[in-house]
Amino acid sequence: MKDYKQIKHGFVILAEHSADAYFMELAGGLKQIIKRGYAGVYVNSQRPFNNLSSMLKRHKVDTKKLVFIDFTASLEKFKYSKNERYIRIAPSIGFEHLSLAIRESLLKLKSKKKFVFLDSITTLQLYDISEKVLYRFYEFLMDTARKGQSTLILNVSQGMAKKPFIRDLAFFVDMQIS
Amino acid sequence: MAIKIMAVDDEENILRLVKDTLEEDGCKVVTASSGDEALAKLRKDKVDLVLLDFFMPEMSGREVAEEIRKDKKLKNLKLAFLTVAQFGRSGIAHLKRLKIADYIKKPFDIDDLKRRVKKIAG
Repeated sequence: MKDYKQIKHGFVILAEHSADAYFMELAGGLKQIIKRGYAGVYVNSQRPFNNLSSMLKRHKVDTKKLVFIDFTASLEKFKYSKNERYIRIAPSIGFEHLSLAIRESLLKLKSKKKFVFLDSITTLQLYDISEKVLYRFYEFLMDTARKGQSTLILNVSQGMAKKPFIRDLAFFVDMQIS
Repeated sequence: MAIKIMAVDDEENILRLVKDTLEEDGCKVVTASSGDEALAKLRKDKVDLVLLDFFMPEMSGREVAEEIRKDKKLKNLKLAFLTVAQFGRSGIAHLKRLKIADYIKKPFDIDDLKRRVKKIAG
């Protein structure tokens, strides 16, 4: 079990998960953070939202403490008008809208301790965007954390941690959990 | 003799601002808009300090710094990063490993930039 006891509000955390137990480890961490009084924005670029939702429930994650931003290329039709805690941003609309949605979602959260949970860095990179846009996005997220508006949790599968871009991000991290 | 600085950034307006500010202060400033261009220029011409943007496409500031530290002729160059986000606690160890003299947060205060450049390069 990965240990999130040392996290502090405003930290930037890089959480590496083994490829074969990726979701189990991620959900375990999420549960710990929520138990510590945090509420957060879950940015999903990994899997269809319906799958994600049921997987989190199966792992007993309190999803009421989360606002979901769905940033997948999936074409599923989710009736988000009935769910205030679900925002759909098509990747084709772009990262500026995603940044805006994260900022607004953080404001909506009632808890004093807030986090942004990125699942995952590697899948966000798969979208056809310039490196410059991606860098600006991470600078926005890290700057938001530094201003004390959230804790930032960057999830990545272990094999990917040596990729140049993730090695760059490691410079801005306060705590690495692996 | 004037301090010679190289500013490396993919943002043209940042390069212009750094160049104008430091030249006004008596420094000589050469610029490069990518890591490759910076390394090519550094291998031809000596400078006292390199101000290096961290997040650049193609070759990041970290990669440029690593190349400089591997190069026999360049390895002792003074380096400082320009960055929007503040480095983290774990990041400080990485900065030490690369012998980064300082980092300057963007957007920067002009007087602070002049003062810190003089302190590092002087």
